[in-house]
Amino acid sequence: MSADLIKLSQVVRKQGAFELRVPSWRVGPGEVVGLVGPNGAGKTTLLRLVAGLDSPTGGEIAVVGLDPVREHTRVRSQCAFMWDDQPVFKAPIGRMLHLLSGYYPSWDSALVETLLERFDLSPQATPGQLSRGQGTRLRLLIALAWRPRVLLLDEPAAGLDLSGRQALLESVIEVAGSGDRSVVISSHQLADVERICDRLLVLNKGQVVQEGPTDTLVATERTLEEAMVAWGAA
Amino acid sequence: MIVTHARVLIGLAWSRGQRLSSLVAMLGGAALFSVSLGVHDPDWGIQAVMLLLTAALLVQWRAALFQPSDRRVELPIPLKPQTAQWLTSVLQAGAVGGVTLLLNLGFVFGVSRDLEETRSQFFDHLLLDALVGVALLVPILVLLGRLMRGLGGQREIVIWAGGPALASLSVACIALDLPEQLVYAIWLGMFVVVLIALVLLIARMVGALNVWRQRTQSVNLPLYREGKAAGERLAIDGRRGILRALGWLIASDVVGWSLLWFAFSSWFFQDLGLDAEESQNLVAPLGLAVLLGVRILALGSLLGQVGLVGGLQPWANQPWSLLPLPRATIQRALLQHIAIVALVAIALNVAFLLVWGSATDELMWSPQHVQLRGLIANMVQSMAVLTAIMAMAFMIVGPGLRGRGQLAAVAAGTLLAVLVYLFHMPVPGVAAAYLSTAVANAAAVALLTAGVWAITWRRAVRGRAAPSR
Repeated sequence: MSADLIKLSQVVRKQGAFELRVPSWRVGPGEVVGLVGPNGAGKTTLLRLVAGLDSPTGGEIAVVGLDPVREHTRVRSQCAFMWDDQPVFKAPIGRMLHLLSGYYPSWDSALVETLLERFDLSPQATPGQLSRGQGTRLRLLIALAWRPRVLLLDEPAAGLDLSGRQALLESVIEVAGSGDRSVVISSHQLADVERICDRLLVLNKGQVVQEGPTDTLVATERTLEEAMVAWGAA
Repeated sequence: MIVTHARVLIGLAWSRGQRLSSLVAMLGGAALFSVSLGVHDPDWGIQAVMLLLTAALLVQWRAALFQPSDRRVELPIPLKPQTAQWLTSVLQAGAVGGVTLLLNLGFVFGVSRDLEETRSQFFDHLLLDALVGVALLVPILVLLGRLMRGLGGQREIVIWAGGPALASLSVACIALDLPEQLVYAIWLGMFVVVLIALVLLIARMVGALNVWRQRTQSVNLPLYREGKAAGERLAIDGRRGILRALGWLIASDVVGWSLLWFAFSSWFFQDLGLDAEESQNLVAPLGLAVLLGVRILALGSLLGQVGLVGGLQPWANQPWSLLPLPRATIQRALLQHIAIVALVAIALNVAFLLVWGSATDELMWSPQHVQLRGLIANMVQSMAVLTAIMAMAFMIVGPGLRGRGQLAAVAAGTLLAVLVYLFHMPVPGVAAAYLSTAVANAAAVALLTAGVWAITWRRAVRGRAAPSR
């Protein structure tokens, strides 16, 4: 079994006229990887492939050493995928968490209590009563609650206010700090990405533009935003 | 471009390479519609359910138009979603009505080989049947479309609770001495509308009760249970759901059938000093409403979920995707749930027939009782057919008609149901007249279920990712 938590090799995914190509990509334990690129670059497509929600047209994907499509349940039990408009069950938060907790052997009740407080969510509230930002906090909480080994976050900061973003960053750093888990964040909040990500994967029109350590890719005299413009991936 | 949009509006996802599915939906809908409207020994229960089944088939082809996010097809003319939905319903129902007319005309001409007879049939009743049927189909389509995306708002409930208006209309029809068939069709519409309104109102009441319960509950978090392997947890939750649904079903059957029993046991009312006929008129509909209402709730509570999981919505747009399970596994669990409840409902119908039959044999006091026994037997038979067809309607909606295998299973089930209805399958024995339809329909449901299970099982075994977008 590979030590890499995520490993892609010659992956191709065709969706109509769009084609995503990732020749090689690895994410190791303890890494926080930023997935950046303009709209339509293929970031969400890539995350969906890693989560096993879509099959690649070609190539191989391994998440925690397993095929995410064929071993869907085993992979999804260790790999959380959160996206900004992910629907949730129309039940009070407490009851929904109660339902979900039964499906994840690694569910951590103590962590949930902490996260509810950190994200300022009431267990009695229903999803319909939440603002967009609060909904994002709830989705984050669900993704973090069972201590997944791989955490895939697609636009996790959408709609979050300053305190929400701080809580998000704090949680991501905690996950990565454990040393045996990794986080992949797709975001347009480039300052946040630059701040917390060890590595970057830059996509544009389905092609990998840059890949490597953030410090190496983004020179000290410029920001990630400026680098993106320079790479033609703004 | 305009042609494509028109196809989408009519509900045929022609542009998505689903020609076979579209054709089956159109012809299947028209065939069921024909059974609903073209039978001149009317049975309101069957006709109502045939209409529902037709609508259920058609609603699937709404996906292209009513997807919530990036998959929505832009219409060539700016329309509000609700207006577009009504327009689609009118066009869909009109298209099916047109095909139905053609099918019926072909059938009449094929049997009679007489153009004059065909023309006479067309003007005497076929045209009227189709028009009234289309008028009934439109609101059912809208409602089903809504149901699959969650219950509508207060305004819809008001619309669907428009039974009294239809009742007034039907009274006016009688007063004006309009053709019996038209009056009958209006009454059928009233029945469907009132029934649906009842279901919606009950659902609303249940929802309100839940809100009240939440408000009065303790603010403490529930104790999180220990996590299990996802498949095991789904099986546990599934069993609980099935038991809960069966509990409701059995309880309602006891109440509903008891009410019917009392309603048609005139001695009971006479003993109480009541007018038997009037009491029957009061109690029998109540018993039927209990039976039908709970059956619809028990089978239909998962209708929306099965439809969504089955393909009406992308996987990423469903809360089920929060569970670490493939789509096919959840779909199979939901179908299993519905199939078990449907088969138990049919078994309960058959059990009641047997009990009723043996009881009335001993209580055969007068010709009136013989007549009553025949009446209740017909009603029970209708109930059996109704339950079975309703279950099939839900199953057809559920899998989302994906793939040729599922199409074949659905087509076989529908064909069998229609054949059973047209030619009651013979079952030997004393209760043959009563049991035949129920047994045959149970077989039809079993066949359909087996087909769907086989396909979803094969998909799961193959390990293919569920279709997501």
